[in-house]
Amino acid sequence: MSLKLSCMILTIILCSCNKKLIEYKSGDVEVHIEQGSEWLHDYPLFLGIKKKNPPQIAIWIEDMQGHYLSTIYVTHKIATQSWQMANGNRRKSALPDWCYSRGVKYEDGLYLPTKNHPFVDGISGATPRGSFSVKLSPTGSLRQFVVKIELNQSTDFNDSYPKSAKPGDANYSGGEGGSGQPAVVYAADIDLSSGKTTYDATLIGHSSPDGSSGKIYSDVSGLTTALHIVKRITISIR
Amino acid sequence: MKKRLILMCMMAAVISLAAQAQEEKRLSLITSVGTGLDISTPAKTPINFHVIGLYGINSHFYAGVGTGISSYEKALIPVFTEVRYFFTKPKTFMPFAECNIGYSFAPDKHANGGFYLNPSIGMQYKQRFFVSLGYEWQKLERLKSYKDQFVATEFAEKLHHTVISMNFGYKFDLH
Repeated sequence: MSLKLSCMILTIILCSCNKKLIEYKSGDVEVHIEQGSEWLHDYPLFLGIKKKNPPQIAIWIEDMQGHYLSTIYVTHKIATQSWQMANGNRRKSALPDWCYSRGVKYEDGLYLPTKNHPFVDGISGATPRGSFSVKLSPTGSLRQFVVKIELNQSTDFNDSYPKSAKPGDANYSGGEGGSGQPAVVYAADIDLSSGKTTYDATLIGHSSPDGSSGKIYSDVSGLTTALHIVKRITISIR
Repeated sequence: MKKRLILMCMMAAVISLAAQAQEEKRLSLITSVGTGLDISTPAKTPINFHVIGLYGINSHFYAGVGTGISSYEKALIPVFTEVRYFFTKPKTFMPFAECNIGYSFAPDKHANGGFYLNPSIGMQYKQRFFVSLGYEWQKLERLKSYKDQFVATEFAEKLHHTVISMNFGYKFDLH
C-alpha cells in the first residue's frame, strides 16, 4: 500500500518539476513561431519507411537597409551539416536566403557551413518538433531592425516543383532528395522606439528553388503545403 | 522542496520493498555502468551509472526502483522503475528482458530533464554478472545562449535522444 502511494505521489511531483529556462525583462524581444498544419512532413528513409520531419529554420536580423547583422537561431542540421540520408548532398537549397545574407563562402564555394567549420554552437539547436520561441536582447544602440525568418521542408514536391525537374529548370530544387517547394521567407520591421509591442511577420516570398542565389521571389502562387508550415510568427516586445 | 519530497518518496518505496523482501529474502541490489550509440541529431554519447533495488516476485519475474547518474549534454539523475523477466530458472547463463521507465532530473539550473525509457535484453552469468543491449529514449531541455555586438539571444533547446544502449552490471543478493 505504501509502495503504491509513494509511486503515485512521485508521479504527480515529477510532472511539475520543470524549471522555466528563459526569463524575459523589459525591452526583451520574443520571436514566437507557431506551428502550422504542415510543420511535420513525411521524409522518405528506406524501403518505403517515412519519418515525420520538422522544417529547417533560420532567424536573423538585418538593418533597415537590408544588411545582415546577426543570426538569432538556426537549426542544428544545416549549421553543422549533419544531414541524414543525404548521400553527400550539402542541401544548398535548404535556406539560401539566410546563407547568402550571411555572405560567408566556404572552401567548396558554397555559402553553407561545413562539418569542419560549423556555425556557432550557441545559436544552433535541435530542430523543434513544434511551436517555439527565441529571445533576443539588443546589446548596443540597435533600435530599428528587420527580423527575417526562413523555413523549408525537404522533399515537399508539388506540381509546380516536381521531383522530375531537371538542373537548369526554373523549378529544379535538387532532384529526388531535394527541397521540393522552395524555402519561404517571412519578415517584420521592428522599431523599439515606437511603443508598439506586437508585430506579425508577413510572408515576403520564397527563396531560390535550387539555392543558387539569395534572391527572394514574391510570387508564391506555385506554393501549396509550404504556405502552411507556420500558422503565425509573432514578435513581441516585453 | 520538490526534490526533498521525491527523495522521501523514493526512500519510502525502497524501505517498503526492503521490508517485504526481508520477509521473503528476495531482495537484490543491481549496479550497472553503460553507454551507447546515439542515433538522434544532435547526437551525444551517454555514460550512465545506475543502482537498482530489485524484488523477486518469483524465480522469473523481478521488479524494483532505481536511480543513478547519466551524462548527456547535461548531467541527469534518473529515477525509474525496473521490471526484469528471466526466461529460465536459475542456472549459469540466464537470458532476460528488462524495461526501465521513469523520469530524469537535471541538477543544472539551465536544464530540464524528462521522460526516460530503456527496454533491453541481456544475459546474466552465474547469477552475478550481466550484460544488456537495448534502446534508450531520454528527453532533455537546455538553455542555449549567445551574444555578439548587436544582440544577445537565448532559446530552450529540446533534445530527444534515441540511443542503442549497452549496460554491464553486477548483482548483490541482500539476504
